[in-house]
Amino acid sequence: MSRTHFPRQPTNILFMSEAVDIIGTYLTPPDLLRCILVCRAWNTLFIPHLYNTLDDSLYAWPEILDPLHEQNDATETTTIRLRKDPDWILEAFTKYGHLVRRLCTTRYLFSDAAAQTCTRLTSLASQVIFLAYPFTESDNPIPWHPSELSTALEPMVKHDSLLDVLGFCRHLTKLLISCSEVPMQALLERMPQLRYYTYLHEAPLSTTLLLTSPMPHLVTLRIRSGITKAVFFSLLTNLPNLQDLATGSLYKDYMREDGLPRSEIKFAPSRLQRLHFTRRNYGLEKNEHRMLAEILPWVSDLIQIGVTYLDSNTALALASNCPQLQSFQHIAGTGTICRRYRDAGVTNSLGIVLCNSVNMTEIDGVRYEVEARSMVLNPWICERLVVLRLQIIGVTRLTEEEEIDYRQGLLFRRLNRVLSEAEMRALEKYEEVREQHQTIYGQLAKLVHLTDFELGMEYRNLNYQWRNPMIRRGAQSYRDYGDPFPDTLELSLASGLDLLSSLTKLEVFGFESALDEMPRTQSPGVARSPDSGSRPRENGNLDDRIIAAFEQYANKHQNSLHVCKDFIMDFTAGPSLVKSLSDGIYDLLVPDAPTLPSISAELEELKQMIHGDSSF
Amino acid sequence: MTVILVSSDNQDFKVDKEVAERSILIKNMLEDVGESDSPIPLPNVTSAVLTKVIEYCEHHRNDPVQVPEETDDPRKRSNDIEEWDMKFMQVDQEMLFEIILAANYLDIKPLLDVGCKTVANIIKGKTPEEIRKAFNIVNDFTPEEEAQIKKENEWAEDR
Repeated sequence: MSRTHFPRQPTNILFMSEAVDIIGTYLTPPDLLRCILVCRAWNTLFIPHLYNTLDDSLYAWPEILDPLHEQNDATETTTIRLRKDPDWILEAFTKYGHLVRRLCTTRYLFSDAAAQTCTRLTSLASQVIFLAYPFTESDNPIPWHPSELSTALEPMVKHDSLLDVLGFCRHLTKLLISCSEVPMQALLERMPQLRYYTYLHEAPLSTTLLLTSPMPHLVTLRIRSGITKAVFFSLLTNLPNLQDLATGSLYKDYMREDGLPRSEIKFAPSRLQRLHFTRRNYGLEKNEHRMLAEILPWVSDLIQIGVTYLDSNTALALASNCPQLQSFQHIAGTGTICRRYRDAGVTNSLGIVLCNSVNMTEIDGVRYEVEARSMVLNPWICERLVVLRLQIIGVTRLTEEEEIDYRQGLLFRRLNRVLSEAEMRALEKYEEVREQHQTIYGQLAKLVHLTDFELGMEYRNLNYQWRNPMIRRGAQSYRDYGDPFPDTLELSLASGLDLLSSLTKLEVFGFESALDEMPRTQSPGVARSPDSGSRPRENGNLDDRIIAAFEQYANKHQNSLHVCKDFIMDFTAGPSLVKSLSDGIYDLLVPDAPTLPSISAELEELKQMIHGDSSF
Repeated sequence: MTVILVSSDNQDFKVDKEVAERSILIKNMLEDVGESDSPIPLPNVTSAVLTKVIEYCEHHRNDPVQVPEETDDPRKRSNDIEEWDMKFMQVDQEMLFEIILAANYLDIKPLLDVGCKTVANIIKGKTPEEIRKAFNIVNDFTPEEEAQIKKENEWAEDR
């Protein structure tokens, strides 16, 4: 920060270089092109920003660089010519190449020109490094000293020559290689300054990845393919400063003896903080995850783990070996929570983490379920959670018949009448249900730091393609994954929503009836079935109460909540809710779930309001 | 604990230390001086501008310290200005520039950023002529020069 720079003409901001440097980073090349046409002063100021980053796949570059096919009518032959003279490109690079800091290129012509002129690169992504680097002559100095390089090498290039080239790049700290067998040991030996290495080869030989001597410089390592346990331990032993490791999966190499002798790895100090397994090993799951549990004792400093599959053994190993753990991320393979695609044997495994890892701030595992029963038996201790995504299932509810029995039993008991067996049972079950719900809500209400709270939804906002039909709601698209779990936890008015004052995102399955919240002297609230004429009018005012609760919440916290729920069954006065929501506080979604005929008219009206109103 | 700031036109502003320390310049000054009641002169900032800057610091007094995030894309987005900041920045151009200068001088990085984002948003999508008009700039290029620049940098056109 320079204090001597205070300009004489304070009204002309563009003579303050600090400000121009910041403004320039917020403008795109088309904007910058217009800036350099404003006047001479602006031209000088913004030219460096225009040339800071060049990517030959963006803007008009493809048009300029790609050959133009011309139909020659007379002979009907096709001639190929460039839109621009190759000299034009070299000219432009000669004039401005020294300004380029970041370069991304896929075309020979571009790389070639850049190689001769871009002397101050810090970052290079190129598929054609060998054209760009005139490395064959050892006396030919390499003009580039990038600190970041990503390259896909042609298969015919031998890795020795690549290593020779990379050996020249003394400033390179970040490297990405997308194909070719490049032995990691040799590479890291040649590049003692490298800190971030990404290797995207699909299926390298184990020997390519095996390390044999310590490489203290590497901090981050990403390997796309899976690795064997032997490789894993060789990495752990030889990369003492590794903090971040991502790899496809862990597998057993049946061809060789797996793993290092325990005595050898015992003293390897691992500083690994983040460990991600990004791929699924179909068919070998059990094996893979037994191995995951086995490696966890060696990475006790972990603060973040990402896996595609978490069974209860791994969860136990996590809880007992990694006391610092703050973040669990489920890495979505198929990304659905539909029962059809669910993994077997993962129920409650997240619960083990939740009731053992006190430092957790993020649980991102919407495909995992925890049973209500398990929640009651094993209280959660992660009260620092900020993000919580999972499903709570197995919630006990009264059936419609039981509810009628319960209401009748309550009335009869007050009138000192003898209760039938069904009524007794319903009264007992009601107490159980109430206790279970209160325990669960009580645990959730302790999570006062939550900002994102999602209890698995059947309509999820997903980015990738899948064959399930799309459902459009306003600006967002959702996929239909069929029926949700019928016993998923819903929130209720008594669920302590207002205690969670930092919430900004809430996705819930629905709302329980006001059952739990009504004072005991009143008869319980709302029947779950909306078609019953028997529903007592005076108690059936749930709609207004939920609206009021939400309005109160919104007024109190001024947050924008995304409420995505299937509440039609509980909630018949839809249109009034929509009205109160149309001020933009809530994004309301109503699924096309089959509903009872008696409310279908109302539902239609509701849908029309949602679809017809463009503000939604 | 409060601190007294003195603007260039000799007006005193009494602010909480916590608020004043949003400015790294003042924070460093206070650390250098130690416990002292003496007012801090800010000869480069007028009272009108200082009022605005203090308003910003008051509103953002509890913000966490910004950590520069590591991204692969050096180009940043300017459409993520907070609503309050957006309203705060709805001032005439002279005041906007003064705020940016003051933010730079006082070393208040988030305010400098939001000021520059606002300027970038004024520039965005405008033709060179519209930019000249917005910033009151006279075109000093000849038509030939203009054509030459366009030709040379044709690659940056939006396609």
